[in-house]
Amino acid sequence: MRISVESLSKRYGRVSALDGVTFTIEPGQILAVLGVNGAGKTTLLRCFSGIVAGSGSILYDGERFTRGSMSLRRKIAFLPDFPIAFPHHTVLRHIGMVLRLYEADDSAVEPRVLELLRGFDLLPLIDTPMSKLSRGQAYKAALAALLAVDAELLLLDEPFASGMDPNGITFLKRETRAAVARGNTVVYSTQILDIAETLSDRLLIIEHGQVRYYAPLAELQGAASGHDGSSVLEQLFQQLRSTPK
Amino acid sequence: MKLSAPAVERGVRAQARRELRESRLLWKEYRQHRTRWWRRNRNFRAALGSVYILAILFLVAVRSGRALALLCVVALYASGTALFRCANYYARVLRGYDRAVLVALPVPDDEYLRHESRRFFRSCVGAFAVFVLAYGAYAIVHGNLWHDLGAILVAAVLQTFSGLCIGMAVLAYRPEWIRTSAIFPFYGLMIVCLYLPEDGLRFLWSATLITPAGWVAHGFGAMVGSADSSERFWFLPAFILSAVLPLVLRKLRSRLASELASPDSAFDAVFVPASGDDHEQTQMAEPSRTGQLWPADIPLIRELKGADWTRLGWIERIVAGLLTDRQKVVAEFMLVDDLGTWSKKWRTAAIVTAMGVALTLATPSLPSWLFFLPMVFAGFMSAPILGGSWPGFKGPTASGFVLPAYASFPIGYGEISRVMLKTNVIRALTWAPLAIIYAVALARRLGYSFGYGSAIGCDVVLILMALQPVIVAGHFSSGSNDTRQINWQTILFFGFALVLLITMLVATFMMFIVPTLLVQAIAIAVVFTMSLAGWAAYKLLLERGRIDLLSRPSAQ
Repeated sequence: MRISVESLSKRYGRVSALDGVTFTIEPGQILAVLGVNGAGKTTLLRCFSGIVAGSGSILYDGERFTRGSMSLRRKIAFLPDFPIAFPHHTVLRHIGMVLRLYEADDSAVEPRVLELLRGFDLLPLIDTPMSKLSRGQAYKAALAALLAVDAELLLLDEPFASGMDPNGITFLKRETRAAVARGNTVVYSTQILDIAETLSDRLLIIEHGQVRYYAPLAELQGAASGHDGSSVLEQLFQQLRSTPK
Repeated sequence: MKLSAPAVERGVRAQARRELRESRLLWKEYRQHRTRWWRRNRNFRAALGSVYILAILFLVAVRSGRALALLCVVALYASGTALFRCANYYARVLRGYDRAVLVALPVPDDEYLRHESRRFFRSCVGAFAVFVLAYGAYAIVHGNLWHDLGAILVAAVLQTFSGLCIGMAVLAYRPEWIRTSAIFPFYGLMIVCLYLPEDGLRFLWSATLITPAGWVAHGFGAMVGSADSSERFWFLPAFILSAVLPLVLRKLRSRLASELASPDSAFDAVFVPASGDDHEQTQMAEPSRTGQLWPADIPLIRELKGADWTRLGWIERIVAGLLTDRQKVVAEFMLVDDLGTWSKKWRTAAIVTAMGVALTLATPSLPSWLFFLPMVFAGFMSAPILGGSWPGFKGPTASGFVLPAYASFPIGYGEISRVMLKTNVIRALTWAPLAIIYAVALARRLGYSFGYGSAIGCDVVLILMALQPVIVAGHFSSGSNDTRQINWQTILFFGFALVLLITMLVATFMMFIVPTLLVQAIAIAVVFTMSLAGWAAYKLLLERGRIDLLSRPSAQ
């Protein structure tokens, strides 16, 4: 799915969360969104999912996205930084609900669901209510549900700060790459630069709601690493910090 | 809108169980974690409770033998429940938990609205059933059930529809006018009207005509009972009102649809604490972490600077005089927004007491037990009957458990206890004059002497103060897993607690049965000693790490 963002702005009262954000993502890419706390990363992802309505436009494959366009919304899967689920739903019921709402609840999806449950070590927890899961387990359950949908655009808010165990993180990385190989697009926000350097095709750095840096990762990696041993992303961050826009 | 995929779930479950059975370890893990379906039925107890209360009310109304009492109860219940249900529906649609869950999923707003509306109308069927039962009970006593069956059904339908129509019309045009708390005056009057003298009841019966529920009750009374037969025409406006329900519903739906179209508030209303402009930057800077499986009531420390106790109420100033600087910090942490409410609550309690005393002395026809209600209310407002409100014992939910806020900070059992004890003793003492005045008024009403009343008032205050240590321990207990942590220490503790409880009960009864000064002094001393022993035993249990400072959320 090709995503074009044009002059996207969003204000919360007097505070400008996004200010004229413009960029384009080609299909089959992983975009890592970086920025300091309060930069506007979460707001951007919420705008992508239709939870938040900003001014400007978001085009998915050339089609203008609004919250009312259900055909587009069924192509988008969004997982907030904390999974939101009905506490009394079991893991399996939660997955069933998500599949149903995405109209993906045919029997062909069963092997895929089982594969995801196995991958995230959730098999023994299928009949456990979401309220009794740890934060990491709840996140994995919500993630498994959305991955089972196989949406064209996967939006993940801080997935690597979600309390997932190393197995879960490894499995998510593998699934992310597999999804991109199928032509899907993945956009995630993170504060962990090491992960952004290894799991992204493009980087977007936001500051005060504005785009400070947007380029392919390969372009950045072309630059030499720092003398002090810091990574190229760390250097870039320091550089951006010392040169306010 | 179906929120499940039964076929897929069945298929996946069957395959998963087959795989799990192959490994003893995984199968054991599965069996340990799964929850049986009957444990998931959360609303059952609440529904049973409300039906039970209603059944008692209707039974009392029927047994009173007064036709108007039952019809008044029905009219008041109908008005209250219609307003409550409508307000609840509105809040659920726009700011409910379901909305927050579904807003991130591909659910069209109109489908979501239909889903919530269906739930709402299903819940109204319950109200309809209550009306059928109530009017049926009336017909059994004052008419002929089979003969009046048609009237019962018509009245129940009109009662349901007209109530909904008014509630929804208010929501469609002036939603800010309606609150779920609107139920309380109506439900309060339901109890009052059972004991009102005939004149008062007639007045209330006439007053119900200001609500559509009253029109239906009047119409039904005229058709079935011995009431004025011309009143059956009250069915007409109720019928007209019911007929316009579809129009009102359409208007409300269009209003809700337009509000749902701007989804910004839906997500944040549930997961970001409401705040003014000053906090907007904070919300932005750190997108809410309270987006948990359900909203948590997390105490927030608003200011780094301590509160100015000298600018608070008179009770707070007295308490401040007893607290050290460190204890003030602990108190501010544990009280959060409740700091500064004691004096205001005392004022309310004083007004309620004054009204209760006046009512007790001026209205000899009302039943005696009714006069205890203002005293109980005033007690809960101004006295630390359950130890008072200390939000620091509440906390966020993490990994399926509630973690008390104080547990994450270096604040000890002893420190918190000392603050609570000093505060509660002062609050109990400030409540004492109100309790004694009320006890004297009640004693006079029941034919006892002034001295007897004041002695009883003093006894109640003294018992309350003596029980404070164990009440404080109870607050700690509510935030721990002591009842689930079975080891020899907890078993020993609960055995000891049982002995303490029995001793305290016996001592308390002795105070009232043998009202001599010596017995009372010994009894108070025993209660206080036992209470202190319970507090100390719990301290031992908690500080030695025999229990965890985690508790199950109340939803479970």
